[in-house]
Amino acid sequence: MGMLASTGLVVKLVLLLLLYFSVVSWGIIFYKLLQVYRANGASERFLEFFWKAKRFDAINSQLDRFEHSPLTVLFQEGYGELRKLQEKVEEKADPNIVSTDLGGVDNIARALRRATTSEITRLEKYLTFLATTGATAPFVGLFGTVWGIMTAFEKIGQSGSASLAVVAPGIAEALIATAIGLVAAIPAVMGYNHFQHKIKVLISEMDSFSTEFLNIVQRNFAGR
Amino acid sequence: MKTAFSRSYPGPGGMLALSLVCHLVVFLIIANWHFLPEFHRDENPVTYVDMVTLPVAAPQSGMPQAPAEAEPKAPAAPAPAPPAPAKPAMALPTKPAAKTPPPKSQAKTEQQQKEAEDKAFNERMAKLQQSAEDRRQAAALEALRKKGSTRTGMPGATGNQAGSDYSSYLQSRLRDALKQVIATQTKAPQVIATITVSPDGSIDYRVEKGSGDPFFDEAVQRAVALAGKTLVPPPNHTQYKRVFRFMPEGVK
Repeated sequence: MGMLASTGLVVKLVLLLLLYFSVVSWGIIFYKLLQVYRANGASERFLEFFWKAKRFDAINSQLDRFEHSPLTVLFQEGYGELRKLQEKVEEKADPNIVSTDLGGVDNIARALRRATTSEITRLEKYLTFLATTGATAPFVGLFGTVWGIMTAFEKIGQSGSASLAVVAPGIAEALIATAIGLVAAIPAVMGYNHFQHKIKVLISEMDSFSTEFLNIVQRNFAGR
Repeated sequence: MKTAFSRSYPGPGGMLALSLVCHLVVFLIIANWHFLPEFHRDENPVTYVDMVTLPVAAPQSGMPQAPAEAEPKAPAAPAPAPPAPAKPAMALPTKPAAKTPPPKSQAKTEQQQKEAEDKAFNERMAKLQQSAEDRRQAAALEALRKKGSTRTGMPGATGNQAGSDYSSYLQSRLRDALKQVIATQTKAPQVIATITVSPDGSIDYRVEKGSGDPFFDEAVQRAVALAGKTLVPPPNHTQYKRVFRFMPEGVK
């Protein structure tokens, strides 16, 4: 730790920046771990419940139990849109309720797509920081090292001695920056790739749920 | 319809605090690494043995050298007296001697006798030390020579026995050196060079046919220079000259 104290100002600033990168990226990793794993678990339980339940309004009343699943948001949006269409038709008092032409199912599909997009945005929030950390932290560390070595060589030039005992400590101090850069970047890259994969799985789950929801709507409500 | 879920897990702020705590813990562990109990658990005292000087019975090794020299020199005033604290010890006995004049002559003869004894003792010690030093150096040289000869792959070889001629010795030295500095750019480079070793052991080389691979050419040059650093001169004070073929696999 004495090594850190004897580094120059620029290297110290670089180390602070890298520490910030590391702290924030680990915060994001913990946050995303919780978010993604809860979303996965809740989605599984919600799908099980969805296929067992007979009525949409019964499902809608139980949505609070699966609050972490993105599918509940999709269902809520789709069901809300369906209710609006029904109300509109009831107002017109026309017995042919939801039309499959332009209005009905397309409206629900649009609502589902919008909900999917907003959920993807929510799930991918903060991941950009992980990507940035993974890509830039090693370079920031390298910059610190290069600067440290430059300063070390300057000092060596002033002292006039080129023995290893004079050269080595300065370079060792400078290399800390690269080491910490890598320490910050490696978990960030691993976390980013892991969450990207998990979110991709959730997105495909949302897509298939949207399709199933539309199928059910078309089967049971349209053209009645 | 708006989504109205209020998801109840800790937000990014809480996780940021958790991350900060984790970093702090890791930092403290690294900072106090040397104070951890298991770090020193298996540490035994290490004794270093100088293998080169070990076989020689050095007489000064078991002898308390500094006090032996300091004691006889203490009364002798003109001695250079290397240790600083010896000076007041020397001054003390002379002062009372100056204050009491009657036993002066007796003290003088005693002092002279003592000085003569000390002188003889010092000379004897110097001789012993000199002979011990000579023997130690001779043994070290012998050990080094043996070490050098065993590096050829033939234990105790002198370069004159059958199967241990100077060519194979030089070849093995060149092969070892090439292994240390080898660098290639092409697939199978080959350098043919004439190696000349003068009677004083200095090495010289001339490239007959280069490999076309600048890295390998330079490696060969460095290998020859490296081998030449610790080369035993050819036997019978003759000049040695031979063509060698340098390849990444070895030297022929």
